Amino acid sequence: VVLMEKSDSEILRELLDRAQIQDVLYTYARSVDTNDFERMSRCFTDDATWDYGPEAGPVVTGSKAIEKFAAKAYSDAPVEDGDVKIRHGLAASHHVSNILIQFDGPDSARSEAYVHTFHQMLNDDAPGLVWGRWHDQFRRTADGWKICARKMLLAGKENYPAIGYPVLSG
Amino acid sequence: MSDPAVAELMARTQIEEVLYRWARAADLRRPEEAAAVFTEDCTVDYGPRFPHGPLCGRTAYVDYMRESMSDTALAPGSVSKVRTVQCSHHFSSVAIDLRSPQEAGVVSRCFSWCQHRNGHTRLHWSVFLDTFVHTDDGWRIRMRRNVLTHAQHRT
Repeated sequence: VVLMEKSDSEILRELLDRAQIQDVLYTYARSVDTNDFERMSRCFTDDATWDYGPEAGPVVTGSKAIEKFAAKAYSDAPVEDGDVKIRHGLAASHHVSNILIQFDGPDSARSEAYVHTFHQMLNDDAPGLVWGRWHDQFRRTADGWKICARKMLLAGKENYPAIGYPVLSG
Repeated sequence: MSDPAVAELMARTQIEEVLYRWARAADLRRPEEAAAVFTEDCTVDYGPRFPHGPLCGRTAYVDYMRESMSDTALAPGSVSKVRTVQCSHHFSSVAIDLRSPQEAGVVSRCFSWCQHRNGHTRLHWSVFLDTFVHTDDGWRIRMRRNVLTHAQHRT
């Protein structure tokens, strides 16, 4: 955060933008964990892309398509060709932290957030655990800040199908 | 900037960012970048897990980080007792006590997943007790004490 030369009102505006962007990330987590995929989709722009890696399925484009994709991923519907390849299970808890935000302009920003997730897997007593990162691009819209591109990166996992691109190292 | 409340909000944001930049750099295996969040004269204390005592100075910290990420064999002289290949440090519960515009005490919780070179993975629940100071380069950690609450072998 480089704010030293800014006025109080400019600083407050940026801090408010940061809080609103954080809220979008938390709303996404809460929505997925409560199976409210319509609310989850409102975290994304109409043209947003969602890329959880080739092992999860194809890159999904559009908030409505993301809603369908996520709803299926948390269902027990059979996996079809060219479809989302993962069935997460019966319950989930997404813990978002370490949020770093960089503004590219007054109406665009990039964020990196850590996410630890617990999944009660279908047909498996052992929980699925994931440690990863969300790399998001945000755009300010008439309805507030929304994610216009998401990429999932993976640090580690237990009892969980492959998802996300490996975290780059070095 | 003239309002002290605005200055405090800004300081809080910047201090949290320092914690997260440290985690990001450590997890991306960038020792110099991780060490850059500390002052030149920093002290980093991992407690009784470190038989050689606290690390004193940024250079000692970089050396420790490099060793922990290396494929060198553990030896009696090793400062780091682990060799990691991948980690993920998840911070939360960040409590900031701004003692003055120049110094802050920060207590945070960290839940971390680490994969070691021998293939084993471990979970750690720990507390970071940090003293931050404001420098010409922004907020930096002058003293860090890490208290391990629990470690669990997974595989």
